[in-house]
Amino acid sequence: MFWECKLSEKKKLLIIQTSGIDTPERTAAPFYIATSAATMDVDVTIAFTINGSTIVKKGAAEKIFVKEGSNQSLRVFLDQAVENGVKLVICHPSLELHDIKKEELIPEVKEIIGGAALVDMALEADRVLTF
Amino acid sequence: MDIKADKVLDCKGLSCPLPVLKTKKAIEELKSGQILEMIATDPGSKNDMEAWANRTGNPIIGTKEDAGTYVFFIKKS
Repeated sequence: MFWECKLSEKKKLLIIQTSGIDTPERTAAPFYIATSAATMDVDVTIAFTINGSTIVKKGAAEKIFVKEGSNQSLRVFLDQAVENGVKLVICHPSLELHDIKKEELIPEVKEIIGGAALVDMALEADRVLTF
Repeated sequence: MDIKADKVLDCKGLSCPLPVLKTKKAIEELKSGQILEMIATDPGSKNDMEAWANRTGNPIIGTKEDAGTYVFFIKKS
């Protein structure tokens, strides 16, 4: 008889994204890093909080261009991250801060969390990166 | 020493995170022991590929650098 050990040995990375549509130059790198980590067999979650909620509102990422004259919107980098297994979650108070209703979020955002869940995720992660 | 690759991946002109992303997908299509030749121009790719290879356990068995072009031979584990 043999059995498979279900315990994951994957490293966990939590990226906290606090930047929003007002600082487009700060919005792409977290996705680049998340995608890179996902290619390295790392379990990656991006948690949006403070102004980060503004970039996961429906229709927002399509209008964010990291660099003036760039032909690729932030949506491309967001899709790339999600396609490679990056999980997106949002902190509930950041929705209230910007008067965003949960129905207005892009469907790629899988969970709405609060402070306790964020603390738990940070403690469970091998590393936390903050933007 | 010349290394014979089973597959060639051209990442010239691409920047972070595309070279590692395309490398991952290309490696997935290979069988264990086969070799991928990845060609990049992103100067960050030297450190990125080393980190990627160490983390994923697919070793880099050879590199070449020529006039801003970096070539990596990666063996699928």
